[in-house]
Amino acid sequence: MILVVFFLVILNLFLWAFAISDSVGVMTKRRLSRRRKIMATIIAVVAALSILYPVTSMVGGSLSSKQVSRTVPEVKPGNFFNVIKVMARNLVPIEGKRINIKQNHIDDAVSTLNVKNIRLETAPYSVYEMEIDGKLMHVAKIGKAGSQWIYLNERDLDEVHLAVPASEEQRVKAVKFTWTNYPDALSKGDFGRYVINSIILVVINTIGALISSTLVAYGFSRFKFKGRNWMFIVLLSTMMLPAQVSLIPSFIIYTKLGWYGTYLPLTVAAYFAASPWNVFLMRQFFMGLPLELDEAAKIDGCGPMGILMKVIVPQSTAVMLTITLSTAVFWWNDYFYSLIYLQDQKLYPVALGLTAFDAKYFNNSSLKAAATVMMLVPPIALFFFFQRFFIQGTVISGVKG
Amino acid sequence: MAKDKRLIPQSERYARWGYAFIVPWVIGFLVFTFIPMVFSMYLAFTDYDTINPPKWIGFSNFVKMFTKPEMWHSLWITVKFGIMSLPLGLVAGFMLAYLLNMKIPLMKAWRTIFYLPAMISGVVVAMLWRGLFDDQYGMINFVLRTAGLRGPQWLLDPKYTLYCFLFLSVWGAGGGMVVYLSGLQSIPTAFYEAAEIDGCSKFQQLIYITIPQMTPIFFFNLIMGLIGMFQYFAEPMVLTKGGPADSTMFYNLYLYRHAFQFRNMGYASALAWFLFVIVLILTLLVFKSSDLWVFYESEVKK
Repeated sequence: MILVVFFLVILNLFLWAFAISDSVGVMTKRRLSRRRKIMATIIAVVAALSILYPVTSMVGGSLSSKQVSRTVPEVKPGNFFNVIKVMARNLVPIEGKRINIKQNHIDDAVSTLNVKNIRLETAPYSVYEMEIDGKLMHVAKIGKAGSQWIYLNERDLDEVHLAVPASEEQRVKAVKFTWTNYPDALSKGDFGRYVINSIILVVINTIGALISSTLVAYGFSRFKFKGRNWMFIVLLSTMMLPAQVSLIPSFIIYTKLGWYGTYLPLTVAAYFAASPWNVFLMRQFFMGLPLELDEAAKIDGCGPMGILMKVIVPQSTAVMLTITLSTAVFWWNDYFYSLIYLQDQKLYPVALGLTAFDAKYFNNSSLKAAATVMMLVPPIALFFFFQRFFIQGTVISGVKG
Repeated sequence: MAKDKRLIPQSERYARWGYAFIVPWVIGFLVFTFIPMVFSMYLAFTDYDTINPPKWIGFSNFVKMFTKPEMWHSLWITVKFGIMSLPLGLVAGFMLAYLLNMKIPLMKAWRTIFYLPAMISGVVVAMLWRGLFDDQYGMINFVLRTAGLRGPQWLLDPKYTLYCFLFLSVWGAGGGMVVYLSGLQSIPTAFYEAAEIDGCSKFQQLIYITIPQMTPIFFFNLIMGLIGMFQYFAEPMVLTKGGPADSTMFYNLYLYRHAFQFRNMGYASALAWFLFVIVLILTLLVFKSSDLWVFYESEVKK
């Protein structure tokens, strides 16, 4: 509802601007168009501000430090219970799942917590899913202590989780300007390592995509051989193939090969022209290059490989840059594949690392904001400086694909 | 056929070079696409948890899929969200493109800003918005409170969670802008000149020239967007994990759950194949409609 209203307001604004610029019919054409341009600029500013708002608030958050006061439940010394505090926001209820826990165990768990006003739930207890340090676990809600919920880990009942409701999690005392969150985020909690991991993935995949798509596109664009046309049609049709169809068997195969938990599943495919878009883009570009140069090189004694290296590649820096940029941004942003194939947190790239970081430093929003900003800046900067190449890629694959 | 003329006649030796050059793709296609697809087809008829060997169970996975409400629920969520978000995103993206087409100053900066949501990872998008959805301190509820309305618990109330993603998709509408912009720029100026002579206002030009000329691109983007809906993953995974009460269990998330959390590889393969059929139908729809835009392309490109 609200969104629709919000949307209609923008729509109105837009139409209204045109109505005004049109209704003044007496104006000369030049002034009319100037007026329209001013209107358009104003609308662009409004749109840009609303798009930038979440980003700027994140940047603002990353540049401040908040002094917060928290109510931290004390844990009795010398007990075997492991008390972990999490945020209620990270908990997702599992529908219809309830478990029973022995009463004496619950008494033990509750006695661990040195908090008063404990209100226990009655069995069976409802089960929630939550993420701690990037791992999903199931916890049972057994009661409430003050403003905090108490959870027991379903697998390891010696683990007590205290969940602070999101809104009461922190009371902000003061906000101070500081830039130290950035170095802190890089040095604390492995975020610096995630960045390096991502760079490694980006470099390996980009090199693979460039080499393989150049070779394949060269093959498809400059040679005539039996089955070329239908093979190219097969290549084009794989563009529309949803990744999920081959995802599960690939996962099984990689696991059987012992590649699970390494970078191999994420990188090897790039060396075998895994992205038909890249091949298509490259082939279209090669088709547009003049054949005369090829022939001249051939007369000079170049073989097919020589022509590729000395004639084609030097002319194709533009399309190569397009592919480099799109591959780099894709792997910098990748979440899905790394989520599936990586297990060790030390190998996480930034996107997956950010979620782990988020779970680990759930109560330090400034630190999280700094990490988020560091993750979003590189692609935006690349786009700003190389717009032309990004847009070429998008338009060709979007319109002609 | 015109393409063949452009090729120099090659001897048999060079044909072999051609094969050599496309070998990486042939291997890649067989190993990473074709064999997994066949394997996936087999898995769809088995019960497989990655530890015990796959057990042939015939059509049970499909029966389970089509008779239990969960799959239909996540399919419905996905389609419903597509129906809500795609038209909104389309109009918003087109507006941005229309703005940029007016050659306002600082083009490069505007384009970067409008396209920004499409450049950043879904994880970051979710992180950026999560704070804004907070029912106490979030910006959205702050605005609503100022307007005298009581904002809901956006990410916790199953009635509202899907609308959270609507915010995200409208915010990211600039992603389609680039394609619309190139479409706008390829509309012949002669049309507008003729309209101007006939005394059409700019608004009439928009309604009678621009939008009809753009419809093929709109349609294409809509279908592609709907296909994209079935790949929607990072944002719901980070923001809601499909909950609360499965209210944001998008199809891809549902598939992911069964494949990689519950390890029901057989059932997940059946889900993947059903997804494939849906995408195939949508794709055929694009090709069926290509009459529309073949006319359009030949018209525009001389």
